Amino acid sequence: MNLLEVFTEVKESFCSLWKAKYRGNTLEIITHYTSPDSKFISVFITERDGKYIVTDGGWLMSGEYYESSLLKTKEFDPLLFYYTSFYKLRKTSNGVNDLYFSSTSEIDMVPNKVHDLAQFISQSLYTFHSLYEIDQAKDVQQREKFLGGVNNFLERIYLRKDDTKLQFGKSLGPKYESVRFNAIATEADSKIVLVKYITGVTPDYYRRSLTNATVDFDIATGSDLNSFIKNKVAIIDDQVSGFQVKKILPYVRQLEKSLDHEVSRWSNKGEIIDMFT
Amino acid sequence: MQRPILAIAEDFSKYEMLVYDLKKIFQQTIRFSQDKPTRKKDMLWYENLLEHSSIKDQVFFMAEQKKVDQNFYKFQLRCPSYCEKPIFRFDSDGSAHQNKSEKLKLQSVPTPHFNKFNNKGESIAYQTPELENIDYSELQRIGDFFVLFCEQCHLRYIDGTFPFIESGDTRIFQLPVQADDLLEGIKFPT
Repeated sequence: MNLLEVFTEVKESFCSLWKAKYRGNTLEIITHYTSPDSKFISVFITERDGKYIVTDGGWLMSGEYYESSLLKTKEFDPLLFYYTSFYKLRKTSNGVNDLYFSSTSEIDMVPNKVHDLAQFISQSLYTFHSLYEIDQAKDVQQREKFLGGVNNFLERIYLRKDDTKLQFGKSLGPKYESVRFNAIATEADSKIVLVKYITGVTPDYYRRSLTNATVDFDIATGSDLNSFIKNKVAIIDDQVSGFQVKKILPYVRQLEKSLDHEVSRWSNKGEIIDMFT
Repeated sequence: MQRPILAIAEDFSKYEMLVYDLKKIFQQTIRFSQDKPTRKKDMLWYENLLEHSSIKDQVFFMAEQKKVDQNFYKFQLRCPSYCEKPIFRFDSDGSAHQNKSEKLKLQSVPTPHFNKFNNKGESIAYQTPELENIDYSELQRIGDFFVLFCEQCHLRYIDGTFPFIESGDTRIFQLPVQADDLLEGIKFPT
């Protein structure tokens, strides 16, 4: 086996990924660097006042490589800040999006700039993506843990009530298949208690959990089942990292409007028991 | 991350019917409007329901065009009841797609390109010979690409002919209009 041949094959394969497109006075270079969304990173080169400008062309923030609404969240800002200073890049704007760039007057320094800029785009996106995916996985775990804990607790409350049926993860009814509650208690007189559990590992996930509950309670209130609803209960996880009062308070208040009373804190079990008596 | 689309992998024959069987559009001339009801405020937009010859699901044709760059547009087919993502797409400009299942040297497919799915539900970009041999220094006409799109996914006007598409008038937005050079007019502070 000729290992030099292997090296040649590897090198040529990588090199053949590089492509170029003329765009008026600008050259687009498609590099071999990638994004988590299976895109190859492009950098753009143009000449201004005797200098070579190397830039992303605004494509990073326009969503060319990754969903732009996610990139415009606060979570991407610190990464951009870190990587722009790490690669010593500067920022300008095309009127719609920010452009990242650096410049040099020496032609043999252009490859360095291309390398740094492509790495900047690729690394900031992969870092963001990994944090996002890790949070998502953590959130699923946390949700399951909290669900198990509250389910057990409610079962114990309802053990003492023979005339009440407690069901978990049930929809509001055949007409409202997608409107689900974590628990629905049906009492002897057919009156129901609707229960939502609120948790989230980041304030973002927590807000999502809150708004989802608010909407579902509102749908229940507006439905023809409203006259059967005895109580609406939101049990909120106040011991999780996403529970940051300042960031979620308006959403808690909105949920409380839907409930017509305060939410119930998981740390105060007595408060929760009161809701079911 | 682009994960394989399960619905497509599970029922690939439906995917092929959706994309390749005849579909008809009721409007002969497609004109972009500016009221795209999403977050993307920098795009012109068009959407219309199609009549599909073999599938009952609602199939839509959608097109979008950058307000600041007439040469940057997408045509796509959507079937929301089957799959959230567009089932077939044409990108006139934008980043090169990575076909991960190919040998490395063949993985990069630059724009303009089409995007379809394979029987594993993976997104695949490809170029027809017309797209492969494009001279980037010449201005491309949206109408030519649109006919190519209609040929690829069997889209016709109700009388069986090709529909037309009209480029949006970007001058009305009073934004800096980019010609083929997306860095034209942009200031890079020294």
